[in-house]
Amino acid sequence: MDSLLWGAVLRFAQALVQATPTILIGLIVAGVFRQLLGHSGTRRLFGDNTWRSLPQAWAVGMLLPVCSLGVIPVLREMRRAGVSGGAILAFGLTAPLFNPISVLYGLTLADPIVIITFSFCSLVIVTVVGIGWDMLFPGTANAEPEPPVVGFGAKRMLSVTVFSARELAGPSSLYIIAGLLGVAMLSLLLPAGYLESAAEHNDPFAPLFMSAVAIPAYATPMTAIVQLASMFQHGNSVGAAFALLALGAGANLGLVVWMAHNYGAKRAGVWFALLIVVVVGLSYGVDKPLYPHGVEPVGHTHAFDIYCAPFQPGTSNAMLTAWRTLWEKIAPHEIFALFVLGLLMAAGLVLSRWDRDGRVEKWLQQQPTAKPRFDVVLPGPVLGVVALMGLIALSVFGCYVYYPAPAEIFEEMRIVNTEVVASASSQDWDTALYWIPIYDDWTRKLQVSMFLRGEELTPYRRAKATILRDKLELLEHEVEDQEVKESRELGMAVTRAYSRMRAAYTMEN
Amino acid sequence: MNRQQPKIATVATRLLLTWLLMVFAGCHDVQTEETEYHTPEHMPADYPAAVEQLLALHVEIANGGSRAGDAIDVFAETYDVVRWLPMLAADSDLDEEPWNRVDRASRRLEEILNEVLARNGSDRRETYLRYETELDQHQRVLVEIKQQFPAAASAMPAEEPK
Repeated sequence: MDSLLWGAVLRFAQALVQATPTILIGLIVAGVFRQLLGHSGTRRLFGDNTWRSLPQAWAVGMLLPVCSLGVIPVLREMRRAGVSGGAILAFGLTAPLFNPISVLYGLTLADPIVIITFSFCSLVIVTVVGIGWDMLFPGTANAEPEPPVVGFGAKRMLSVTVFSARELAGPSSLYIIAGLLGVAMLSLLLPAGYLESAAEHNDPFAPLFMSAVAIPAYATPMTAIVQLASMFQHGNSVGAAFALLALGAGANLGLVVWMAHNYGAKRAGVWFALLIVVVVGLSYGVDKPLYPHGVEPVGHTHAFDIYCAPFQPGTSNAMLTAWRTLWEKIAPHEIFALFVLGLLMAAGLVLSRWDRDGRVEKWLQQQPTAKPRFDVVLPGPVLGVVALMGLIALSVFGCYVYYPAPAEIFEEMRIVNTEVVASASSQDWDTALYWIPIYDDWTRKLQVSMFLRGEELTPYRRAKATILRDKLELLEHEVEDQEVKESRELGMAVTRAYSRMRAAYTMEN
Repeated sequence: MNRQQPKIATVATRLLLTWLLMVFAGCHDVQTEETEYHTPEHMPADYPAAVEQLLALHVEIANGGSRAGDAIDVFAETYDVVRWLPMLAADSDLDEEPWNRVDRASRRLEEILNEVLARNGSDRRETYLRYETELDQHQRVLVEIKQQFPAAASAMPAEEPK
């Protein structure tokens, strides 16, 4: 019981930590919509409730780096701005599926056609569900009065922060918690390793079953795309992979609760049923045609372990283990985002306790008495568009940071290769298990890095990277089983595969 | 808002029950024990072995191709070996140009075998042999590339990464 409870707490906390950067971005985007674009500007960004609304919402969603929890404050602001229900849902479903970094990572799945098809299928989903919604429930767009204009200068930036703080201390957090509870609930219901064989290629129920699991699950765009990569490597069902992406990354319980609260339970139910029908239909449609060439199904996967209980029943010191596991995996950017969110939450709580009548906002709305002599006052919407473009530019810049130059990657891989082989040979099992996923990740980053820098990712190069990942996978299993001889031999095979891959990517002979 | 709350509760309960039924109805085979890494018995060790196996399978099909009931179907085995060829060839020092030829041959052979496997009984052998000339051409390519392997052995000694 102890291990079950702390397992659920761990899963809740892990999902929260992973979500913090994208929740922060979601709050900023919502603040920019409200304080800089205003309601009319927000409606214009999403096609002014015309036929352009759905494709525009899809396109904006593809570019902005938010997750299905971070999108909640944005959806709330879009609703206040009077954007049509179909466009809100189109944005809400697309934005969490992809961002520039995850789309690039998707290039390593099997063939570029896979990620292109998945992107196109997401457009089909939002179009069908969006049109269906607007036809079944017309007139759901109700704009609130235009928010007062904020004083120019630093006040406009400050107003975005104040809005984000109030939003975080308000209902958005409750919806986010509802989404995270879905993850905790899954870990309570699914024992450790329960989903290892849940997505086999030859299982006709795999896409359907994965849809059922993915609904309460939560995954950031990067988590989902890494899981997809693992599924393709293991020869799992492509349909199940798509269902996991569309429902695991695209929707969560928080979003469903928000829908029910804002549009009513019946409408939310109809929307959700329509969404599931379209997703499951498309899953079966892509299942066979996109199956990768020459991949041998390995019979199981660890890709979904994060949706199950982390501990076996009877694990001792579950609380300490949970705490240690959480801190071992936390990344520096997540610590930073946690710190900023903590500050925003504190500020929001202070404002909601001691400034209920909005004195801070009234002060922010006061325009300076004199216009600055050498300063040009830009209209809010111009700044809003610049801010959004800046966010997109930042995420493109982030791609080059996340996928560094091949020379840097090879240097990292050389070090990681030594760590993996040495630890596997010297029976340092924990060290080997720590480095193997990192090694796998670098092979994918290398592929994306080459693509970003104009190098061709030929089938030969892809095959060399796949071979290295396959060897790493085999090594991981032998290390898990603590097989001394096999681990040593596979360590050498990994080194050979690395040398060959390097030769193929650098054209060395 | 208050009038909606019972409705929300009802719909949420129904959704939850449906979801629980889908996940735990027992119609889906899931495992909780650690699974073994699955390598098929008929998977060749390397590219030369795969080409040898493919030629032997071709002869077997030409001579009738029927196997005992519990053995894997000869066409299914051929299909598997054909699919594995590019990865087996990639797990060696083979250069890009010959590897591309292996990949092309493998994809075409896979298409032919897909067509064969879509048939039943003796129709399979008939369909397979209808492509004999083309099969022969692809097999020649694969054998020709296999000749490069003594020099580019897949089991070369471990070396220090650069």
